Amino acid sequence: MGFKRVKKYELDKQIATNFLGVPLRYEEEEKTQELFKDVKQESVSISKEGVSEIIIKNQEFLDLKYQRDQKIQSFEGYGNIAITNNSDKDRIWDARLSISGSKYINLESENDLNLGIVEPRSRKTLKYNISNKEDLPELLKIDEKINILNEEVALVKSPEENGGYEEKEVELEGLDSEKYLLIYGKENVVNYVISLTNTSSVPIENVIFRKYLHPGFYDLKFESYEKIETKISSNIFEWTLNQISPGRTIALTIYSKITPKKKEEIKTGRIEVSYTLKDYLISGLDVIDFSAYSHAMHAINKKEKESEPNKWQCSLIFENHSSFNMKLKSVLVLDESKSKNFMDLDLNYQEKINKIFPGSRFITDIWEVKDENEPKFARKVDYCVDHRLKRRSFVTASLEDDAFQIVGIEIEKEISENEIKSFEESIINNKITIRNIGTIPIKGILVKEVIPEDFQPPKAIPEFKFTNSSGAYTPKDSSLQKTPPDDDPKKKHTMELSLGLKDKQSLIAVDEFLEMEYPLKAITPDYKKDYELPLEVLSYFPKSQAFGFKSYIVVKNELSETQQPELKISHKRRNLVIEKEIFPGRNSNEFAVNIILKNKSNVIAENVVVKDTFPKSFELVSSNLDNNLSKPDDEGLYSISFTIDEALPFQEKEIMYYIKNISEKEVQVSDLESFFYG
Amino acid sequence: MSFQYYETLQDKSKQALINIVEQIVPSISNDDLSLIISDVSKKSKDPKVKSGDIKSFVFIGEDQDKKANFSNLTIAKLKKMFQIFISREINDRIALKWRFYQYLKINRKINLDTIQINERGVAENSVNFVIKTKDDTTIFVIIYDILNPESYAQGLDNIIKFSKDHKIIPDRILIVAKKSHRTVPIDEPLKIDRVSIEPELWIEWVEERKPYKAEDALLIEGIDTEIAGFNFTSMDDLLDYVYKITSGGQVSISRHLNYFSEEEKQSYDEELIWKGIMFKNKT
Repeated sequence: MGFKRVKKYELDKQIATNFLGVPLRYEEEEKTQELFKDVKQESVSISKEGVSEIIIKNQEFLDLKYQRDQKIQSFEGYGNIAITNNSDKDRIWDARLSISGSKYINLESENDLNLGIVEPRSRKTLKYNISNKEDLPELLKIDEKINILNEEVALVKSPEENGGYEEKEVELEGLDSEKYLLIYGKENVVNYVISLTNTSSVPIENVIFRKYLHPGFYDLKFESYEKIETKISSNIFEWTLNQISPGRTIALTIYSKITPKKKEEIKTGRIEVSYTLKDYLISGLDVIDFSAYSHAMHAINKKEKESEPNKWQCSLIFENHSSFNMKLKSVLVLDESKSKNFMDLDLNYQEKINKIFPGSRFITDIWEVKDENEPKFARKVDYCVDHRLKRRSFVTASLEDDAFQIVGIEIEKEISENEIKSFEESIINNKITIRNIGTIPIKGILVKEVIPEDFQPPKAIPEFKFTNSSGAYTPKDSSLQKTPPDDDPKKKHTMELSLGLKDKQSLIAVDEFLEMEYPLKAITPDYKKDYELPLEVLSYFPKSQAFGFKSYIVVKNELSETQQPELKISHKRRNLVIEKEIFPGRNSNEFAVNIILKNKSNVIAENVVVKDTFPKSFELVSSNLDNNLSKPDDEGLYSISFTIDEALPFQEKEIMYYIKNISEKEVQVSDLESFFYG
Repeated sequence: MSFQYYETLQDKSKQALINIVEQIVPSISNDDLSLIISDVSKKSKDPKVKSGDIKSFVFIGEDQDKKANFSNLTIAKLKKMFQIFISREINDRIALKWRFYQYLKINRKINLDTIQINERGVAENSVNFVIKTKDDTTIFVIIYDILNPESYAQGLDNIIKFSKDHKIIPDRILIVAKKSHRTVPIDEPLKIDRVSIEPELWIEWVEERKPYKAEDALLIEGIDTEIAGFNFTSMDDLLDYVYKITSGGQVSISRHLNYFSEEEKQSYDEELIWKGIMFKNKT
């Protein structure tokens, strides 16, 4: 790769290994280089019209980078003055350039620059750097406001306004600049309101304006009351405007949405703009005058009067022999001793007559002199080649972008017991965890909970236990408010715990967490009621400290119904029935004893011991459950006991055992209706 | 080691050569490679390449999304690729033709629509490329190694003949050479069928004081790629290429010193070589 188009003059003159043969050189060019090292001579295309021109093109180029507060972050500026001779044949010489206002540029010759000879079809260029960063004229002011609209976000002047706490001004650590916060995992509506104001005194032209947006933005829309050519591609907005008049403001609004799905840096997007200022130079440089000579002839025509010998009629003739327009500035004709003035013309301000076109001439009025010999005069003719001055400034500017901060908060609420007994006092450990998964520390939080009736809210802060990643933590600034302000468990309470709102330090750093636990006392929980344990956390992020007050962005997070811990109130009441039946057995001396345990409650009956007795005249034959048979007591009764491990709610359990009469005496059933224990 | 000569390469293994050749940008496509190889080995072209609408010409550049596979090339062919595109030590008309073709891919001022290339290789003083641009400009290109007044005159005669034979009048004529005699009358217009055209002389230009070297990697901010410095001979070329592959705006280019050299290093010095704003044209 790497090809370059080569023009004939380069082929002729340029020294390069790609060109074979001897290069042509110009002596004059070398002389000029010695005279003025900053001057660069280049060839130009010739004038295609009849009249040639000396064109002085003064251009300045400025590259500006602005901080978001409109201050200039970096500045690079340079300019050049190109003096072009587009004549095909006429050169100019003794070319001089007078400039003013050059204190901001690095041209060494302050006022009068000697350019020497400018050959036909060539250009001399003076380059300079611009250094007036501190004294730059007002140009195009770029302003950008970013509005983030999100239902979960509110802007408050201070936490006090939102929480009703005592107002107290505190300084925040390094967080005094404006912050742009996006909510993690949610759709954030971001509107950019951009304005371009021409604060200069001249029209700003050929404005190309670009706004870059992060690729994550979608649903991009644009609005402006101006008629602007707009192009959107790959999240880049480009506008083209022909002109912005002095003092005029162009307002543009971009509507966009973004849903941050990972913790990444999302930039607000830089702004770039380029424009030109016609007939205006940023450095304040001004070309006061340009003078140069070219081919011209001046002569004094002396003619002896026909009727009066020795009396001479004289006039000065000026002829423009070049292809340039010329300006005849002054004519001074004196006698030989320079004591007598014959002609003194100042044509500097007589534009109608001082312009001498190519090939044309200027003849002065006639003056008469008496002399025996041909009179001789001393003359001074001041003229110069006319020129055309073009001035233009080209500016590229960019406005620094900022980064959005991502607000990400995870909240969790756990209770130590998910089930408690109805109408009994019990203590539940209530634990709330707040994690900062965003990119900015959480300044402070306001935790709102509802303590339902039949429960007693915590009495004071000391009942709370706080933990962060370093272990136990004691917040420097905390307060607890209850509404109504009592501990009556018959009432429902709203509890608001504020932490860190008045402290200088941030409460929860990035990727850190804060846990808070307190005992929640159930006094008379009613199983017929549904107790909800909602949680709402307001997180405070400093936005700015502008205008002497702090403003915060408050982000609200609350647990959904499914995220709230469930508390079940169990209502456990025992209801057992034990039935006993005696049946005759297979033989007349055999009996079956049937005991039925009926659990009529909604609780499980466990380890139920059923004990029965029968006379010692009987012996145990068998039983359906394991039994424990003791020796006959003093009253002559055996004791038999059974253990039922578990009887589920509304379950029946059966015990059956068989006994046989071993005495010869006939036994009545009533003898077996013994004492029963269970 | 500065990729100046093939012979100075320490590792001339096939894989090493493939690794280097794969760094050529703009990337060489399947068709490109097929035509380059048939050209350098002086064999007939691959029949799969689409014939042009001019006799003995084929279309090229239409499969730029299909990056060529160099693994099938022999070491001898890889060596040729190295000598043409990387060390640039071959400066004959074939090498120059393919380097100019690569340059066409990045040139900002020639808005390419189609390129047809003479399948007869580089017949002396003959039209080598016929280019159509998106603004309907037809460009004839003749490649020379060394341009002298005689070969130049012969080339112009051939252009007139080619133009009449194919009934195409070019809007521009590009005379491309490695070197040129100063006496070539490049400023004299050529008349074809009463249309006057001023031929343009294009010389392969190597900027001596460019701020990077062949073995440097060039990093463009925002693009996760390291481009080898040997792909460009001037800062203008590099900027043209960057202009093409980026979406414009603020651009900065840095160099990783000696990144592609054969010397093993743990880390590379990084140096910013260009920073500025690129405004892309609307087209």
